Amino acid sequence: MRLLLKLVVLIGVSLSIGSCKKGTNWDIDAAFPIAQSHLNISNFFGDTIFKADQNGLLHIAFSKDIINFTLDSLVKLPDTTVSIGFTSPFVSQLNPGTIVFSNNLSNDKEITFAISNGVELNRAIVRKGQLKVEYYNSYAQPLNFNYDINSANLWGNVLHINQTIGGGTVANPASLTKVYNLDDYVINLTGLTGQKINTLVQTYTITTDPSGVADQLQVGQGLSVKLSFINVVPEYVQGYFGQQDLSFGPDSSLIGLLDNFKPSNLILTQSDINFRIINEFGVELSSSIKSLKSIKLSPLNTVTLNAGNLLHSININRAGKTNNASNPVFPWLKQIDINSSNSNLNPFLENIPNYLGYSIEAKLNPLGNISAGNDFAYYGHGLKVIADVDIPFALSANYFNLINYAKVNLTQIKELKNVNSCNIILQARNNYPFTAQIQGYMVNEQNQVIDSLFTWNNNSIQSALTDNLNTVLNYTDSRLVASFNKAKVENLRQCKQIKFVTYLYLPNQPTPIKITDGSYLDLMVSADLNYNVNTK
Amino acid sequence: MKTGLSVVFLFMASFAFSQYNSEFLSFDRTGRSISINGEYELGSNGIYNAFLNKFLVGGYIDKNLKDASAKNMKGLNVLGANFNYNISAFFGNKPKYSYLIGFKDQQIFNSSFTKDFYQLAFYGNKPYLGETKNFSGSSINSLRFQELKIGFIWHKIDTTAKIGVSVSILKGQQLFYIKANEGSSLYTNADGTELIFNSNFNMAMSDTAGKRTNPFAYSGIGASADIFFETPYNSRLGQSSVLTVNANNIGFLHWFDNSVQYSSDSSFRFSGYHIDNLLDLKDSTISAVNKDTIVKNTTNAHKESFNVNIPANLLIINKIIFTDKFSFSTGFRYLFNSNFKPYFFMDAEYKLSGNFSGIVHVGYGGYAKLGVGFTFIYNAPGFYVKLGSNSLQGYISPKNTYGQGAFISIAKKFKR
Repeated sequence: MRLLLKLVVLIGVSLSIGSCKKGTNWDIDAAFPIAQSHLNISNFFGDTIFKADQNGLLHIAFSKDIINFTLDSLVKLPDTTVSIGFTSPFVSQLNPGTIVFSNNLSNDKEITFAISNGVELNRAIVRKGQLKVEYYNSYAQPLNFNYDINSANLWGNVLHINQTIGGGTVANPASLTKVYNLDDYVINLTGLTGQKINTLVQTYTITTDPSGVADQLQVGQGLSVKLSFINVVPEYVQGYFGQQDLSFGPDSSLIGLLDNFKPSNLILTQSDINFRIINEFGVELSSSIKSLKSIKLSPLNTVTLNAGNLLHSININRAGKTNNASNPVFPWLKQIDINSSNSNLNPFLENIPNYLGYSIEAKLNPLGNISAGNDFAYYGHGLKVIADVDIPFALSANYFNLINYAKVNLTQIKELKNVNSCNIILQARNNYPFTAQIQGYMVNEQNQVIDSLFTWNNNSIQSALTDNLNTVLNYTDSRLVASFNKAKVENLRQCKQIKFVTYLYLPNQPTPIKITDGSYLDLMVSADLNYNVNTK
Repeated sequence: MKTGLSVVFLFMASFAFSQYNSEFLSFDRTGRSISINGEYELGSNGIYNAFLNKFLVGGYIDKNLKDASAKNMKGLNVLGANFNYNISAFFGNKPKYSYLIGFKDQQIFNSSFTKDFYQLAFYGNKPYLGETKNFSGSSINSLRFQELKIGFIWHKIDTTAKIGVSVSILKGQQLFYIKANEGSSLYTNADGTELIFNSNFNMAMSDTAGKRTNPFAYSGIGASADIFFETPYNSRLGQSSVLTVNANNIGFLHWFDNSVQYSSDSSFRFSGYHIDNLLDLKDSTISAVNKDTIVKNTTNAHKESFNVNIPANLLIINKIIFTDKFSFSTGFRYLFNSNFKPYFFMDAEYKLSGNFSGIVHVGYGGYAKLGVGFTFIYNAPGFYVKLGSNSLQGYISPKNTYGQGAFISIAKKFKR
């Protein structure tokens, strides 16, 4: 029996040894496709700003807002606080329900807003805003405050407040704060006479509340009320907006396009910027685009647009009303076309600006109050200046330099450890009239280049066949091979991103190339690897 | 020498199966006893032993090894392996019958494979660019289960015949099954930029949670039965003869609901993942390419329970006893529900001296081709030891032969 036990132990030990055996492994040669891609010009430049014209010629076409000046910038309604109420100058015995004070005969029936820049409003519609009311009652019995803003109207009803405030003392008045919504109220700002500006009308009465008891109103007792118009955003304003001088800039606007488009010795054949000035204010303006600059950061270079007087002394007419609440403005539009014939636009754009620098001046109502107080502005509408840039892709350059980053994380792919050697094969069918020289740099976590994909003698995708005018006659096939040994595979596994640097060399320079919407570059990536299959 | 023997023994004991996977066959020599038994057999009619040994002990399969097997390989080949070990006891105090109880761990691996499949698996597809490699008929059926067995043997029928019956409850540990049906193939175009996979296959797995190597994994349940019959008879040759018929592993396993079945009957053309902009790879582009997605997209995967029959073992032996010292047996063995070929064999047993006997074995068929073996038996009044192999050629000349195996049985006999 002991022998049997020993044998059982022995078998257990031997099984354990067996389970620790090293894995079986062998090498195979595998060939398989990885990826394919049909690249158009947008893929090269990382933007979708290319449009084809009727002849198929691609254009770089994009729009950039230079100015967007809206109602809240034009007319600023300040927060406004006024105090009203009644303080008794003598002692009187008051029963519940007795009128203590009414402003029928007093001079606080109007509230006038101090609006800057000489803006004289006669009508406004509130988009949002509040009326904050703080009450202080120093009478011993509760008082009732009955208040109307006669100039504020919502669906035919004036703004009305009826509030009871509990009793207090002069030393310690009863206080209460309430906030009332002003949204959507239509406000007449012409005062009691109908001839004023920025002025509304209010009426109020103060009575002893029926819930109180008869009591004496002492000298100095009464009700004090503080009214605050706060956070008022107008939906619509009307009046005379004054002869304001507006200036925009000097400032710059980020273009943010073609950031990785770095040509050498770029020469455009043609270019065009159409400035659209859209006025949605009901007010006349005169304007001048004082300066426009093409600002490139690296290397720093600035080109100022010279378009003669085309951008100076621009008269802008007022917008009209449509009487359609959902789209209330009929804008006035002025277009000024700047092109390579009437300006230095080609050099301006050949600078490949990162920013557009501008300085613009405008004057409201240059002829005075010719609308007789009928200037208007709607919320969300304003004055816009938009530059529509159009560059036909018929250009010459020595080369374009493109840089793309591909984030990768292959550390989790443990199978890569078993790759003995590998060829990554890039097969390209090029229909573009340029030769593409590609290199991929493996970049580690510290942003250091640790290896590269291709060797310099095998990294060119040949240009399509062209004639002397650089017209594409036929595509060309190329085959690039990136060879990886064990160390290079490990570098690929460890890298965090691959920086693709591509040079696109243009043929027969300075003859321009034309890129059409039928141009393409088909890429097919496949692998050819020697792999160690391991069963462990 | 002692150390050498220990190593040989350890090697033998590392793989398990009692010969022909039956407890009843040894009863004639051991009687009531407690025994441990182990056996392994591994063979292919297309792959040489030297190659298979790399899967047993590990190591690098070089080109010479691959070429040697590929050279003589047929269009469709088989590969199989059976490994088991058990501890069992015959006991009781009745004169005519004894009870049996035992525990056994079994691993059964059956595979058919085309030469094309072998070439793709061990050389890769690059040497075969522009070719279609055929998988039709290739299959793998790998089972591992444990069984608890109870039974009895009636050993005094007409004074000398024996009948044994046992039933077992089975605990399924792991199943992996795949079969490539007609039309399954892989085409690689001339420059490796296009793969066409005609997938017509069925696949089943007992679990997908990596439990296959855990012997305590409980992925299924089943039952099986063993039947044994042995009777002496008078023959023209020799003093007497004994006919033995044994059938075991007659049963099934029910795999639970978390088992997964896949099936696919489609043609897939793959010429690379279409990436909108190869120059602007994003993490999301790369992470979208993973093997789970591929499997999900290419197969009809669903979880459900199912039953499988386990390979049943049939053994028929006719033994002619010529003298007290010499006997000669002829036999036939077949495994149902497997790709085991009919196996015909001869055993010549000679009683050497005292308690020692030796058996020379020659057979043909099974997973491999020709098998030549030798068995050593020590049968003392208190102990019984059997150690041998039916495929010694696998150890003598592994580079030129198919099939290997070994078995060991050690029993402590109970006092009568």
